[in-house]
Amino acid sequence: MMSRLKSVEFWCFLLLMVNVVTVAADLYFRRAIAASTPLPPGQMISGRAGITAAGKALTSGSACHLVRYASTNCPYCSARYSQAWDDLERALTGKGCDAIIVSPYATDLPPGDGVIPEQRLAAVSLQFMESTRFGSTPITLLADRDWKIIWSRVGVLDEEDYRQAVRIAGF
Amino acid sequence: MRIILFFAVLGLLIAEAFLLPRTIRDLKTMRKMRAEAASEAGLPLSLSPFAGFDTKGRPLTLVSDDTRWIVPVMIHSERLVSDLDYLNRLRKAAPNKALTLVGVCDHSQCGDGLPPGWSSSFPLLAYGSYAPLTEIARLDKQNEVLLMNQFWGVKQSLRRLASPEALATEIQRVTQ
Repeated sequence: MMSRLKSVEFWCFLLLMVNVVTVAADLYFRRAIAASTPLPPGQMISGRAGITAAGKALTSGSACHLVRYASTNCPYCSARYSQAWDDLERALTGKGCDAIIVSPYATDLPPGDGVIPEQRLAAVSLQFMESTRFGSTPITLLADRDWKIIWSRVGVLDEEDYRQAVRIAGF
Repeated sequence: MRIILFFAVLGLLIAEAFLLPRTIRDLKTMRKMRAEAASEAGLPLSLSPFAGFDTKGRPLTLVSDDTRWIVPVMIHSERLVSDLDYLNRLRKAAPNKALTLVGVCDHSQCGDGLPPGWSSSFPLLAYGSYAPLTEIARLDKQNEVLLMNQFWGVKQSLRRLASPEALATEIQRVTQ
């Protein structure tokens, strides 16, 4: 009886150890993911973002900054996949934020709809590039008045992203 | 006592069944992200199309009809004068018009720190296309510069040697 009981104790201890090891491994993986995840909330990005196609610097004083990294060469940046982006852009620019469009190269800025005012960057500063490190398109980020990232999403936006971004923006 | 331990074992098994799939999923995500980061380690094929602007937002003409090779060199704001001197000496050591040198500022106001009356023999770029800047900065961190043809096609990377004259000799050797 005692040996059987001891056996159950042993299994109990062993399983507890396995649980602890699994939790520790998961924590390590999550930390590694967090370390390589681009654009975490709280990170500052450079406000001297770049030059618009008209050769002007970005206007300042906006309530928040909505930045989109996109390209005409990216199928997932097309209008078909951009409904949530369009809604988010409309909602936030209507509340005094600015919308900034950045593309990887000089000639692949996605066309605007001509209705929502966008600041379309023909070129960026190295400080802005270093502080954002966009690696794929599309990427959307939302920064506060002081260019501190408050929300970001890599990939196509959906309705849930739209709701989350608007909620976090505080409007 | 036994029944308590039995339920403890059962509980721990259920906890493990809950934890393990999450851990495996996180392991896969971590591996994917590391693989994506590693794929950026090679040389790009091209930096074209590339647009450059000066500190006042004026577009720069970076390539002329004579250009056969382009070498963008990073100008670090913390050692602005020595980097500008490096580029000037590189220009003197490689005066051939076939070689276009471009100073790429790591700060959009780098022209403001120039000594009075200073003039450069190369364009100073304060703003540029996003993806090409990423590559130029990445190689600069490895103490390398890119050698490109007149169409911004990458030929190879070169060590940014301490002596600009030695780098000029290396560029001449590679482009002959």
